[in-house]
Amino acid sequence: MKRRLLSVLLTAALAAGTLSGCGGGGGTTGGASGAAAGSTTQAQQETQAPEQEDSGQQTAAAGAEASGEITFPLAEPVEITVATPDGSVASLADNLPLWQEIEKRTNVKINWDVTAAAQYDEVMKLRVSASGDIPDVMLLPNGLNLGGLGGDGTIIPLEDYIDRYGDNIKKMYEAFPRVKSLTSADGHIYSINTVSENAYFMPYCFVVRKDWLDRLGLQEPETIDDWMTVLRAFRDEDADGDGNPGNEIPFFAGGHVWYTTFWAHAWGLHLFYSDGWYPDENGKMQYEFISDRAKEFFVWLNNFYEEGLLDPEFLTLGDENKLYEKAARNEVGAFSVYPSQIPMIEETLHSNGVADAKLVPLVPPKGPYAQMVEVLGDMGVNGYVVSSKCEHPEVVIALINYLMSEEGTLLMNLGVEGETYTDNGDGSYSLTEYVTNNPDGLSANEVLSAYGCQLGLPYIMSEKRGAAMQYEYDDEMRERFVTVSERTRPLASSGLVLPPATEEENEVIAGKSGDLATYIWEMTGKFIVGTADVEAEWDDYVSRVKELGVDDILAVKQAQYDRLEQ
Amino acid sequence: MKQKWEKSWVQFKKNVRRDKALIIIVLPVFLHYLIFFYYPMYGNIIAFKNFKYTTGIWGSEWVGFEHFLRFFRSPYFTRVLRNTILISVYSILWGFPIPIVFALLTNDLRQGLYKRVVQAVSYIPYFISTVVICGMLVNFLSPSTGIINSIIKAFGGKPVNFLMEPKWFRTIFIASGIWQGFGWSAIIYLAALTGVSPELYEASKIDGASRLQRVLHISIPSIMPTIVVTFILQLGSLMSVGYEKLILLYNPVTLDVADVISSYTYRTGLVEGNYSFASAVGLFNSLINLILVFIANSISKKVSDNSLW
Repeated sequence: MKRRLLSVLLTAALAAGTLSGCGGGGGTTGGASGAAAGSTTQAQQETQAPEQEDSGQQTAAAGAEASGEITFPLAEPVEITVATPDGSVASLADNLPLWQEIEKRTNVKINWDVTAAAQYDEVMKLRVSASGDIPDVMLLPNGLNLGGLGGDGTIIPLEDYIDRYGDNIKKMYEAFPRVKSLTSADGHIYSINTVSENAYFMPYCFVVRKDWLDRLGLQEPETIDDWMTVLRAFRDEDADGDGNPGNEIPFFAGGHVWYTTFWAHAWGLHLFYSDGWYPDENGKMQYEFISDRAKEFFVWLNNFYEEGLLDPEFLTLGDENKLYEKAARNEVGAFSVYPSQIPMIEETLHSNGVADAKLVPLVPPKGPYAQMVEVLGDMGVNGYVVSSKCEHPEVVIALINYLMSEEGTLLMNLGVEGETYTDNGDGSYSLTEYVTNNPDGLSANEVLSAYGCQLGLPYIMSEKRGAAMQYEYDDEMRERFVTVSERTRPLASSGLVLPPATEEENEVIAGKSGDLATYIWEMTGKFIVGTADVEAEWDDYVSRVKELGVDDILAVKQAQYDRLEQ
Repeated sequence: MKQKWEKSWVQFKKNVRRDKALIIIVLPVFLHYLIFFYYPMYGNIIAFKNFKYTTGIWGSEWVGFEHFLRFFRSPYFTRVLRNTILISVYSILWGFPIPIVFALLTNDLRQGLYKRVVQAVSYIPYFISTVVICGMLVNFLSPSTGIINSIIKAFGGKPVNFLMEPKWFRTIFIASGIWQGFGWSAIIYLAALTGVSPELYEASKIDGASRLQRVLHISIPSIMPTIVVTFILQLGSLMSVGYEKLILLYNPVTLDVADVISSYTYRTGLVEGNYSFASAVGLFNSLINLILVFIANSISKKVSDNSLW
């Protein structure tokens, strides 16, 4: 569905921007949870004896294994094949410098089995189904589930290996307790995910043209009412100072209905990242799209549109790039965006001759019910799984463990010391001139991606990368980000990411969730534009949602949620 | 008996030897159809199964007509069926005659640069990708900066947000489709027209026939078989309105008139990974299309002697 596609794109953008990442994409296709939830879930500590079938296969590292340790570099080289989405700037298959370095340090030779990130899910799903076979290590494509592959023995449980060789992986579980249940099925851990320390630094937010506010003598909006005042002023007055009060678009929402639901946070609704599936305070799953608050929200949104505060093209302009275009044409007063895009838009505005243009990120507004924001992307939904035919699962886990160590984290986020970054000695790191002012004209993210950073295998997205990336902001902007970030952090909660559904559960949902999503998408659009009247049609809408099987889906979501909380 | 078999085998070898070149020429096409059209039909059986990746095509369990029934019972079935048929019928109604008229007109142009330019210009849009076409439509029809609305505003009208108006959707979709495809579709008619003997035209000229009369009594009857065959083939794709352009153009407000079988299947079948369901719908479409072709063909055979087979 378009919305899912968007969320994938957004997450990719997130990875590419604020967080740090290169468009590796696959590792972060999705959701969140964890760090903010603060639940110290004691996930299942299954300590079974290692599977019979594996014990005979360990060869190269057998000696080290007896002592429960694998020391890198290995005495004998080991080859493993890894299927993963490819980098967008340079292909992993071209033996990128970072991975040469990792090979040198570990003596593990990785044969990359790469697919372009956009096609990865589709291609891998078909390959796995056609051959029933997977490479040694694979990023689980969307659409295949852990329980299914684990149940029929295609992939192996990892908990024993993690126990023995995964100190750093266990540390990661302590920092991100929810990731463990997310990667488990049938009481086994089957995959290891990329996680991000960095997701909370500067989440998706509202942005306003500070120079327009200043010109009209307005304050930065703090509440929904403030917002209405500001946007009405943008609509009625000459905010851009060209003498024409009628050519300003007060607010633009990215080109898809989904973006408008970012406002729903102020009503305490979790429509933006969690799609409305969210537990109430008693842990009972709700479908917030049919709640009373949602009705109030839609009434407000309809008024928002009717008053001409929302750009009438908000449904037809396909993708986020249109937002950047509009914003760069000096037409839009406020919008929602990843903060990492702000310098880019601002720069374009400057080069378009709007010398005083200034965009500022804002703290989530206080609405009638809440002041909060959901955050996406602190952990990937899908992780890397290990095939039962893999000859050296212990080496795989030890390698991932290495990538999650301090040394490995630096490698995966910042590349090779001396080449792409330097140690400042005070716990912070700076990117080298080669990265920040690349002779080939690549952006810093692109240079690091071309090195092989944040690609290939699970790792920890580090705040150090986020901090090093801020070289492009001037002091004022950096300070601004820090203040807004500090004020936003306590308001942020993580978007709900549920552990994978079982096969039976999938059969219950199949078809229903698609029809429901279509209906919600359609009705949200109609409620906003007013082709469907919220007051008059609300009861029909709710009963239609029930007809489409919302209760069945809720039951499945409840079961998934209970597994998460166990 | 044995002798007979041997005789025909000898004959066959002789034929092969004689027609070597022809067989080699036809082989790639033959293989193309075998590999890309006949072999994939095997996959259609997943329409009657609950396809799972882990068990593969053969291993998945049989469920009979469950997926077909799910499609018929879907709350969106009537809507997508109606939209599919309406868009198809309107497309044929408006889109079918235009290439013919265009071909007749260009055919009457004298050979030369002007004719070649007209032809090239007319079929270039066919080579523009759908994504680009839709991007152009969105830009041209934009209520704030679009060229169409600029013209409307210049004449003092009120700008129309075309892509948000359900009543405009089909017009935009079909008209842009015609614009993109008519030059290309005209090629087959132009080819047919070049086959008409010039003697016929000369004779009629001497007999004093006007241009219009020549078109009505020579050109059109001569390309009638081509027209009929093309028409029958078009009916064969009545149920298959492609989803690519639709999903690029529709939005929640126009979904009522824009959601067709293929876009529905794309969302619930492919995006959600219900491949069995998607195959069932595809098979249902193909069946209807096949029936339509049969009906059109037999009618045409009776009425006009022209037919596909």
